Amino acid sequence: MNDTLPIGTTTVADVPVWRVEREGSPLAVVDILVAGAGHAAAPDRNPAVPLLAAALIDAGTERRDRAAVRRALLDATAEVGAETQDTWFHLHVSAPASSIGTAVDLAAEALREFAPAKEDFGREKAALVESRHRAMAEAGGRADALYRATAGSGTPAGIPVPPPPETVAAVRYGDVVGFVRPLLRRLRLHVVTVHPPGCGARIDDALARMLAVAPHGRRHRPAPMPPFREIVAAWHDGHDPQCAMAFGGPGIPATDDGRAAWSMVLDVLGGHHLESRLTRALRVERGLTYGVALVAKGWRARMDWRGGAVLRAGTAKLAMDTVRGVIERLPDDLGPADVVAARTRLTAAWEEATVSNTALATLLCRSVRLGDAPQSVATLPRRLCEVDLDRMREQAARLAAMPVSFVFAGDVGEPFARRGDRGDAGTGATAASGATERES
Amino acid sequence: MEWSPMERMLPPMRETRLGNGVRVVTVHCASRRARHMVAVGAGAVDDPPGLDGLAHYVEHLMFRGSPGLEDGAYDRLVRELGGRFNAFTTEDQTVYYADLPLSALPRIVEIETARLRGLAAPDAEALVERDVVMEERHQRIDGDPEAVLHERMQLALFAGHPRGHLTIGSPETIARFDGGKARAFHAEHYVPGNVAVVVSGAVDHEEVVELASRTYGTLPAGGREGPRPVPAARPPERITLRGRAKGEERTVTVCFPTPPADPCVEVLAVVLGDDTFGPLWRDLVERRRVAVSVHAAAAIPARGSGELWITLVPATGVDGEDALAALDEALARIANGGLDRETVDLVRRRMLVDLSHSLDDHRNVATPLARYVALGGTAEGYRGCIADMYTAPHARIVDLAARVLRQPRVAGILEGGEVGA
Repeated sequence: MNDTLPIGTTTVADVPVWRVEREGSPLAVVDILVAGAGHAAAPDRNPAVPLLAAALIDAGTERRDRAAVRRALLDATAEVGAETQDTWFHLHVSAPASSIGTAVDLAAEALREFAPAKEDFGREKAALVESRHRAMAEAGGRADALYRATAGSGTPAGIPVPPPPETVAAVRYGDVVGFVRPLLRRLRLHVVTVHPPGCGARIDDALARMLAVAPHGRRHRPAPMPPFREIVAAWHDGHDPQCAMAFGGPGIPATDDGRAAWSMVLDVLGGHHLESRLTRALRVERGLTYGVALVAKGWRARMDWRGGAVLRAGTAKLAMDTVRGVIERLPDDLGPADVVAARTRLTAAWEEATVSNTALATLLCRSVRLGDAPQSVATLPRRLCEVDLDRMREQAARLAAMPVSFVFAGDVGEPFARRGDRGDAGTGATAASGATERES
Repeated sequence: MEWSPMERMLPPMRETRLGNGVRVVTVHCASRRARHMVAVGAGAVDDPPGLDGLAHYVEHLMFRGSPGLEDGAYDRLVRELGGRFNAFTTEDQTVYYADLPLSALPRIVEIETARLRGLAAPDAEALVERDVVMEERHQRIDGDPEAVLHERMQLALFAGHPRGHLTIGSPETIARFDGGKARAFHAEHYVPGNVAVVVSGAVDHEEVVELASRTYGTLPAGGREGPRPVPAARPPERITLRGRAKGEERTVTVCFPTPPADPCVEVLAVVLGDDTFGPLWRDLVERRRVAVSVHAAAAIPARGSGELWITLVPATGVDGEDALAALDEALARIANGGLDRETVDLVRRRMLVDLSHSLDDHRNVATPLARYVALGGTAEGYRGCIADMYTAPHARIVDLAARVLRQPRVAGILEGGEVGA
């Protein structure tokens, strides 16, 4: 199997750097990850602060206004962007090898001297409020919000992620500036870079300039995971043409020995392909939905899994029973062909993710967030090969024994509609009806 | 800035036409995985009367069985090759793609050749897939008031024209689909002269042509040569439609028909949607503060007519009607020579940056190329279009803006609360 990805490790200004230097693409990619600063880590308990910070990251510094920042990026053929993922804030820099040093310098300025115009802040906030209104107007958005609020999966207790519009509207300009400027010195950092040969020293020099400005390394305390709550809830809206289903369960720790087998079980159950058990049961055989897929959330302590589907109106109960049945039968239902199929699919996905420098950097960043060893990305195909049917059945039995939560929104149909029909889109999680609840 | 000339930024492309009319195009790059694409010159504009969405339904059924491939076999075979696959249908073309190891190319061309021979989904399964398409329609359109409004705008923009419906079709037309209608569509449009095969990766053109000759080359010649001609659309009537949002979301959108194959339409769309240097951004967002964001998109290349769509989100306290009036004014100024050279040059530099970054992944080259050649274009023509986007004289962009934006527009206002007819 392919263990040939040359993942090197070093440090720059005491910050760990994972590096892949390889021929092929002329694009150099540098990702700076900041622990404890993502939207689910919610500084000031407002997840909209890092979301707005990410959206405004190239919107102005003390030296340059928005247009000047973007002209400087054009001159360097560079892109600088940011996103928040769970407990991490993620700064992404890319440019051709010849100008990657300049691009990293610009990214450093964007963080240290972060000063967007107040008008830009106001516009970005209004746009985020609008997008949250839009999300909540859709059954899928309501199901997602209600799932997070009730099951608690992937969200530290008490913090509403994604934030409702009023939470976004409450953010002040100073909150965002006060959040971004100390990012490079306040929290734990990690760098991932994938680049063509010949520009490593340029990147390291720029990183040294970026990171040497102030002490860092304050001990990072991972956000406490909330207990997973087993729940069935519905938010009925008879005007909606469909019913959205959000479902999921608690996962295993990233350090668990069975992680490779666990990921193969999730792939067989609900991977993003037409062969998954759930796709066969809900789409191919019954035509209830256009698509159903699962994802494992990247939490180190507990990699919860989440699924979603938008279903034919009135079929919530049928879909829930179908999903439960598939999960319950899975340990006995798995066969040798499933082992080979899952291994092949996940290996193909891994190969796809290593094709471009951008995608490879993304893969490495995920491993950083999960606390993996650097070589774990390179050895994934080999670890998949070590999984046999018994190990998969073991993990499938583990999954089947765990709680599964379901939340529905839209035209849910009986019995949920009968038990709590509101007849409109409702206003919040209090509209949940027909709920059963158990903490685990 | 160290720019190579545009033509040299793109990877090498070569093209060969097989005896039966199938065109084979390769894009050479260093990737050890290949993207294999079958691009068919058939899309929603080819939907028969009363069967809007049939081309898209055929795309679904291509995964539910073909001669020699039972339902589910395609998924299994591509997976066994270490591949991943998907497909998409647009107004103008349908494209099937698989990403797999280079060593899998000999097998994937055999499998895709079988799929071009016909549809073989049993009628009962074809009806289940019709249900899936109906749910896709509900998910993408019916549950989203903005999508419903845009569907009405599309109808108004292209009234009486083959583009005058959504790719997915309407609930009424979807309900009429069955396996027989899909098979007839496949037989008419999935013919060698209307198919292009595009392969990117570390491939040798001659070897790919050799593989294609032994597989695609055995399909019986005959049928149409290239996509069915589609007439140009007439300018629409100026109209404003209104949609009622479910919640508090608000947008204002206008759309115009465009020339079908002028790459400068893409430049115009990027200029109009640019969120730093664009004239709409500077005027409506920064100066007059009637909007908080502006987006624009073009559908190019197209058959008959292309499309330009511009959407803004009104600022808090700004009425949708007022935002539309401001947008109309701004577009009228741009149509009357208000597009300065510096703005266009800045935006084209941004496009160059985007292009150079997209070359990190060969699939970003292969996919738009497949859409282009599906309409009968050549690899050389595609390269010329890309070069044209970045080198076309400023006066040509200004002239295009005048021709497109002086036409009557179709507008849509999405707001909450009570809405008139």
